[in-house]
Amino acid sequence: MTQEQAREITAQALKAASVPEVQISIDHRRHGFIRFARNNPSTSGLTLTGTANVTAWKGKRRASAVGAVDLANPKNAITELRALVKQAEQLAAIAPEDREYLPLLGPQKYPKVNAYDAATAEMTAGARAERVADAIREANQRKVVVAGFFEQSGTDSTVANSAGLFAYHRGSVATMSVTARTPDDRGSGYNAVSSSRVSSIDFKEIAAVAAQKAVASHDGKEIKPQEYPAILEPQAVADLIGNTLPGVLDARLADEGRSVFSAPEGKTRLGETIFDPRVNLYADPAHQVIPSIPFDDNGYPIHKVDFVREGVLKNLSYSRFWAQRNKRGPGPFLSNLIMDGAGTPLSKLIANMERGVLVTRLWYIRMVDPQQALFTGLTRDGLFWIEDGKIQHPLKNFRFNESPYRLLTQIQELGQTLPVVAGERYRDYRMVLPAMKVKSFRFTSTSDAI
Amino acid sequence: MFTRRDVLALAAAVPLARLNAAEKADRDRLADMAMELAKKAGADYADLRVSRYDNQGVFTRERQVQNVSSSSSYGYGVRVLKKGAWGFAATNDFREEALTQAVKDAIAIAEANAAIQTKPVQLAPLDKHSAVWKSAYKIDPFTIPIERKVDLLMKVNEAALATKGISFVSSYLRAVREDRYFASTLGSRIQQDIVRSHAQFNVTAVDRAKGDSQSRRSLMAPTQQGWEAIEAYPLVQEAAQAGEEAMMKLKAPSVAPGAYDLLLHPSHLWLTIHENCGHATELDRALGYEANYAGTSFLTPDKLGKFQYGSKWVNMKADRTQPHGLATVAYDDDGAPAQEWYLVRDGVFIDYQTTREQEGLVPGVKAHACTHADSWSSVVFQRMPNVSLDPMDSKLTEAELMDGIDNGILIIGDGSFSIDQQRYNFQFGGQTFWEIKKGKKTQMLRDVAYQSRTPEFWNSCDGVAGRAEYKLSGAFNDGKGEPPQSNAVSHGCTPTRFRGVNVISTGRTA
Repeated sequence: MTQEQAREITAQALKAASVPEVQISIDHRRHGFIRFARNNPSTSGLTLTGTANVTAWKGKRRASAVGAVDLANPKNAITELRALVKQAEQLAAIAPEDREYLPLLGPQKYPKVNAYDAATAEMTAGARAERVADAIREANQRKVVVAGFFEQSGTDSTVANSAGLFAYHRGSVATMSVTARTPDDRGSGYNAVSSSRVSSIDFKEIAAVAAQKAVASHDGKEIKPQEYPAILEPQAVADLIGNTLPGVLDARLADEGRSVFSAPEGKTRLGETIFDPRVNLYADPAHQVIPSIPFDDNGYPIHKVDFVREGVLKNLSYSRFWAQRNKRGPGPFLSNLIMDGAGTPLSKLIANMERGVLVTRLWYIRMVDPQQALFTGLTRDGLFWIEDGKIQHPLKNFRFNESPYRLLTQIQELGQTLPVVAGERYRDYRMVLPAMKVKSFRFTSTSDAI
Repeated sequence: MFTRRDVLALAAAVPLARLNAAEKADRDRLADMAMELAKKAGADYADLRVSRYDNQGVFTRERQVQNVSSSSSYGYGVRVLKKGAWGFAATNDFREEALTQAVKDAIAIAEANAAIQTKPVQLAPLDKHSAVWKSAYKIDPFTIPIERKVDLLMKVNEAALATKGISFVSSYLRAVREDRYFASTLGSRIQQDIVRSHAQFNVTAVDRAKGDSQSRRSLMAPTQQGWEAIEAYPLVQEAAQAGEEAMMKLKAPSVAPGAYDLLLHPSHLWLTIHENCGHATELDRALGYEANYAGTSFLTPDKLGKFQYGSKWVNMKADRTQPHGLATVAYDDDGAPAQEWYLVRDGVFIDYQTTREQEGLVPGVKAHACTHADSWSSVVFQRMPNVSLDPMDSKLTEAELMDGIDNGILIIGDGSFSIDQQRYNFQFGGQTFWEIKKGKKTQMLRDVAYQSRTPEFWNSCDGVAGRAEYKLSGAFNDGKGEPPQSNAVSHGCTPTRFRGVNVISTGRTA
């Protein structure tokens, strides 16, 4: 769906509205994927989906209707969108008044983002299978058993409303992830790469790295669970920070005393130095490596913005309602996440470490206490003991109970950055993050899982 | 491969401008066309799922309605098996060209995958089935006026806010309707209609001076029932109690870490069963098909029939026929009849959750009709049935189980949960925690989580209350697969006792 088609479809649907305020957001997606396991393809597919979310306001009464829409055919799309508009209007008529009502956002300006590659968005089944075959061949040569997932998509996202706002973004993404296991199931390694351009992904190399980690992690030794100095590879930083940060940047939660960024007496920690001064965390939809959508679900623009600069908490995200309540502008919002590194290669971080653990991936991370931003989870797919600047041997996995925000105060050294995707929610946020060496990481028990 | 002429011939026989997904006759015609196209293109097997999913939600916080939402999604997916490889394509375009293209896309995927496949898929024999089935419910939740739903949630919120010190409460009501049609080249034609309902609230007390907050969620479980389940549950009374308990949690002493006997309420234990046994007995995990995402399982095929998973009290039953179970159906998404069977019997691991294509992958393991997709646009794969701890013929009561505890904790409601990728090491929290001293419930505790290893934990089970105290809980959103899919599943149990479990404190010294 081109920008002009999106404009026409949404304009025609908005024209049919009988209430003054209607917002339409639509996604048109072509998604191809191939799953593989035991060095063979398993479930694979191609889905063509159109989804619309229509919100209507009758006075201050608000309701939304979501539905599948046949966006491949503009005539059908207009008919179906109009039906959703009608449904939302009917629901709004009987919904109670929204005490947090705000008028619709008017026309906005958005940063220019180059996130679309036709070769990535339109890949064929044969091309997908060939790329995966490259990875499987590498696994066979290295005598490991692989499971993995390759997906590619092209998505057109549009937000339009009756106050004249129109936002359109076209993006493509290709993501390949591989878990390699030794045939005796006593070693496991993982590697994943995501890009807007499939041509920049080296499928063979992804499998090779996962295989190396699987072999190196074979027969991990058990050591006592306790605090250890640690190096987190960028993947582990993504699993921990990427899984947890977007949810706790909400200003309202902090103002209401329910977040790690809350301060006593109803205040927040905005403006305070909360992390090591080397920590810079920001979002940038126009980032060259991880371009992302430059607007939120309501069409509010997303610009390059600092959340943490030199360790100081610079911004929390204000919804439009909460911003008005606090007499300030809404946002900033984020659709990707970048943390600056220091350019030190991983090998040098390891060489500089007297003793500690190397964490390559984290898993099943869940909030234990929001007030401390305390999370629990486990290491997975490669954990190693470092002594005298060298990896000495693999370790049995650990469970941790740790706050990523405490870790960001514990930094000893930052490494090179890599584009990474968080294992448990990788389709939501793409990130560029560095390896991190920290003074201590709290491990609380060992796990037999390999 | 079929030709344009084949399609035109079929279209002429079955006029098909744009089908109405809601009409059974149109679904049958769509199925006939899809099956014919797939067979002509060389498919050894094909199926079609046409589905419509309706979701309604009413969301509130404190004294305002945040949103009233309604979502509908309908479309179809075609799956083909050719040269031993699967292909799948889905669209919500109901024109004949789109159906033709979907079959063509599915065939292209199967052919591309067959070229790199070394072990062809083999399907177990299956009979043809024609059926129409509806889940058991009395009142369609979609017929209840929004005003009535808002009124109930406002009463819930007021009841929670009536406790001094309660700062926040959020609540919602959800209704789900699934209209699922299945057809296959075996000749099966199956229509299933499912309704689910759930109400939930979360009450939060904040101590701003100390910078502390504590929450207590409702214990109401989502269920495969209609509005009658919402009406039968004492939501408003529970909200008042939850307000008081959230305040108590703020002032409660933090647990001293150590070994405790645990008495686990069904509102809590369902999630432990789900993570410890539900996922561990999935054959796709045990064989490595989920290794890249959800993980594998410690219950490998060599342990089948001999591994002591738990004590003699532990009998885990899988059941897709259980009334009101969220995963209950008449037929799975292969068109195979739903079953009930034991996964663990007298503590011994004896069977897996399986699908039609998994029969025989492990010698002696039969297909158990666990194929499922969460949408017309999702590929089917093995998903969890309702898995429950069967009390068998126990005559024990919760009171008797508590009476046998000198130093323990009663845990009610599910909380934070995390488990490793082979389902060994886990950590679970809860909603409320009550100290038990010499057989008596004494005071509330906070910051409680228990950490253990699955076989050790279930082997420490020394008492399961009788069937009279059986309760079914569950979740709408069990995640698995790539692309990730969500499955609704229930787990039943009675109050159950475990001895000497490691409890940690998640308080601020943690």
